[in-house]
Amino acid sequence: MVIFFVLSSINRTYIKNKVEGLVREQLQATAEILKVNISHFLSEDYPSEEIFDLYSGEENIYYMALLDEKKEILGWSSRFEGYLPLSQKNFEKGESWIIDSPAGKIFNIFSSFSTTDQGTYYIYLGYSLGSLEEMIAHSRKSLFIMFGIIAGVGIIFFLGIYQLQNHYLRKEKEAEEERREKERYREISAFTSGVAHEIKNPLNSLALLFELFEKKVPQEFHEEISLGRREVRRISRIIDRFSDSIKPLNPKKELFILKDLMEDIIVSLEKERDSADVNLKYSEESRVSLSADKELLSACQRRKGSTSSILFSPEKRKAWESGST
Amino acid sequence: MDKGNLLIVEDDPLQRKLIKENLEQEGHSVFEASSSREALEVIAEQPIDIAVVDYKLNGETGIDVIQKMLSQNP
Repeated sequence: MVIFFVLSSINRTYIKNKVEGLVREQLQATAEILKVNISHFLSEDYPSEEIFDLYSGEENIYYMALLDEKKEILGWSSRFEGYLPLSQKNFEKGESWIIDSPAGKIFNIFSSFSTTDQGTYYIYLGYSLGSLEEMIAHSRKSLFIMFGIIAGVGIIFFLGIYQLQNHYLRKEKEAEEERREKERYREISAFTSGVAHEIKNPLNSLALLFELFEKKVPQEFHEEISLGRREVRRISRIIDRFSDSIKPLNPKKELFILKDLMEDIIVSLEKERDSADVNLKYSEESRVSLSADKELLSACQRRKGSTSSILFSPEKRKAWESGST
Repeated sequence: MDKGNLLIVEDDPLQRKLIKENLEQEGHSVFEASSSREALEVIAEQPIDIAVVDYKLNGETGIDVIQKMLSQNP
């Protein structure tokens, strides 16, 4: 942006200088023509006022004066607030110079010429550079418009980049958070499954011990032993459920028949159930094929079935009826 | 009636003992091993019909043990 501004400013200064040079050349040429014409009129003995009247209609000639060889003013006309901005100091400035006026910059030429009768005269011309000023003002305005557009586009661009970067950083942070969460979950899962395994081993031993007792002790103790076995099985099921719930989910889609899955679940639940009074059944109007994670659905249905068989067991029903649950 | 020879491969001594006793109560001839090395020694000497192998053994899995047993006695 700064480079653009500097380059544009250099370019504008260059154009301004170039245009001023051209205007200077052009006005000098105009002055030369005027000098020839005025010289001609003076040789013909035209009064100087009349000569100025001839040129007073020239729009860009702001003021004009004719001086004799002693630099005394013979005649003049001016649109510059009714006076001629010419003094002795100006004679030292050389042939041309520029002054600032309320009407803008005015290009001045002070130049001598001779008539055919060898008389020496000076002509003083003030030429308005209003068009050049307008052009420079226009150029400056264009520069600011361009600058505004580039700044606007730049701001939009950087805002976009900022938004993108923010979005990327936020996503990265979320991904990092998720990764850390998964890692923590995996650690907890590994720890709990280790604990579950450690609990299941002595439970298995207890189950085997009850089984052995059942075979070895007299029939009268079998009911108590059966109660013990049932409690061991219940603890085992709770631990299995706990282990399943803590396992990290990694769903995989596969196509299967729902009825096959449900029948497998029912067979498995019937082996586990404590009471033969609870019957589990699955029925469907038409065959259903599913595309889903079979293990996950199986775990959900198994838990649902297991909970139902506990809820509808005769013990629970009795508890509801007596109002203790 | 001969109910066949069983091999129990289990590193937990209590569980091994209880499984063995339970199966013996059912009338099986039960041999026991706590590692793949012991299991290979048993199958080298006894004709085993069924092997019941724990999945998690000390430093190896039940699959490793079964593969070793199959490679020695297909």
